[in-house]
Amino acid sequence: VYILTQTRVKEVRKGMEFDSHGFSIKGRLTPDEVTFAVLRTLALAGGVVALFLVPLRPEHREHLFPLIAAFIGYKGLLYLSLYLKPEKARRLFLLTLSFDLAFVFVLIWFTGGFESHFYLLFYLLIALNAYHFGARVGLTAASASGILYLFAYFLAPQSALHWTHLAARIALFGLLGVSLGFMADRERKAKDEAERLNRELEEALNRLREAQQRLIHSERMATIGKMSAKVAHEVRNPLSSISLNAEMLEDIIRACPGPFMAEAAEILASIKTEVEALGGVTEEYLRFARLPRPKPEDDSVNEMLEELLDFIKGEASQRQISITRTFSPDLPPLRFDRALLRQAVLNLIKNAFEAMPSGGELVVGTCYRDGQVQVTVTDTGAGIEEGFLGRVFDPFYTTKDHGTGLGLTIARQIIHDHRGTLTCQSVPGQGATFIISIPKGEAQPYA
Amino acid sequence: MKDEPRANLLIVDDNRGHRQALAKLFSKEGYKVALATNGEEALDILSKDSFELIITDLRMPRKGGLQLLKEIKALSPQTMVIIVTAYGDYISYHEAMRGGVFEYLNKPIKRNEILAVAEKALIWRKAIGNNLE
Repeated sequence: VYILTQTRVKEVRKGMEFDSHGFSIKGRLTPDEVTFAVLRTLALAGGVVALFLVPLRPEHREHLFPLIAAFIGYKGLLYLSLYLKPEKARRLFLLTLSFDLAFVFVLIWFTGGFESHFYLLFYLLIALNAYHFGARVGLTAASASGILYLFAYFLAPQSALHWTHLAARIALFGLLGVSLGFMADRERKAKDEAERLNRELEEALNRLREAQQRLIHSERMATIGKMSAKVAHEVRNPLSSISLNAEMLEDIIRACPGPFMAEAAEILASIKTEVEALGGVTEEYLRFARLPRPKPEDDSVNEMLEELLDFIKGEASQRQISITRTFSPDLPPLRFDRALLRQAVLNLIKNAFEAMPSGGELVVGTCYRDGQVQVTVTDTGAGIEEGFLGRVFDPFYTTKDHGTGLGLTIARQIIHDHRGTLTCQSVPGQGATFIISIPKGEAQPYA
Repeated sequence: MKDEPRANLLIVDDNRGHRQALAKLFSKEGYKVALATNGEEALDILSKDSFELIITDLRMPRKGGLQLLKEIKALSPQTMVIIVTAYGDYISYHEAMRGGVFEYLNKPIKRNEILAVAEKALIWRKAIGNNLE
């Protein structure tokens, strides 16, 4: 029985791993409980089948069918209860143990008392319950079986067997219950310990994986930073001489008016525009390359945002964009670097402005949720397709003609440096929301 | 005005295009311009000639702009130095200011901006010189 049960546990466990959403009772009970339920059913169904085969006493034959009906009804009730209240499985199993014992008792009584071989079912019940619940329940089941067996012995007509046989059988009940129970207890402890170690190992592995991801991310950012600085440096030198030369050329063109000079002036003006745009791009590259570490101080996020929104009010009205502020008055003070967080939110606002080329509404809000101070920036622009949501923070990813693809990367880096997260939600066609979450407790930036 | 240059100007920049653009711009404005490609070369030229104004890059091989600034100020404190850099940051800005730089500009620069700064540097130089006398 022990080996059989072990094998079943393994099989059921394997089944659970592959199909945890399969049979609903399986999903709601532990693998051990499922095994236990299956074995009980097998044991007692075997008993019922045997009832048809063994010769019954004539006076008991009439009780056979009501007994089987009662047994089936009782089993149905048990499984229904297990399905409805899986959390009470232990209690239900203990409760039904007493019914099962009683059933075996009736079986023995009806089939000849001491002469009946159904006393073997007591062993099965004791073994199963000792294995499942441990030594204490094992011993209780053995004692109950002993007492019931004695009753059956006295109720049925006496047999020729000596009382010592009865005593030996009852003593074996106890021995089986206690020894198997202890073994099960020991195995359960070992299993719990192994599971605990496994959990710890998994947690450590997850932490390690996270640290590795963070390291890879920061190394990648550092490399991109160096590259940005190099590109900016290499571009700004020739850009400066192009700019100076263009301006000198402008002087020459202005000094000699002629039929072609108007066109030349136009061409020059477009060169100057491009140079200016390129200057702005390299500016952003350098800002990314030189992003300083935050120097956090206790400050008010609402105040910082009020000041920032006042600053961009003019540009917003030029772009036909209305600004709505939904600040929580109960926002606790937070430790953050005002200049950097301002930069991050400004980048999100710039991004929102560019998403609404023909005007719209910008909503900037704050709230305090689950120990996190949150800032949300919502626009009513075109939104972001689901497939691109994961990429908007990638360095150099842009959908704009003149974008550097660094604005949102810089914003996210700043938030990460504050141990926070920056995420994006969007319904295409209805706009996008960027959510900054910074934990209130964690004041220290990454070392 | 053509006979008498407005000032002696030394331009120090390892980027050839930028060096030449500045040289052309200032020559046209009546400055007498000399050129160097790095700090060491600039100090060589300075040992032979005297300059009222030096416009130098920051990052150059052999000797950079900050070291050059230090040595020029030790040699002749009245010489005005303007730093023009493609890779400006707060630390080098701070150091340059403490080293006595007249102005610190980021590339790309504008013609009017650099001319005005040069003009202003010369006025300052004159004022300081008068005060010292």
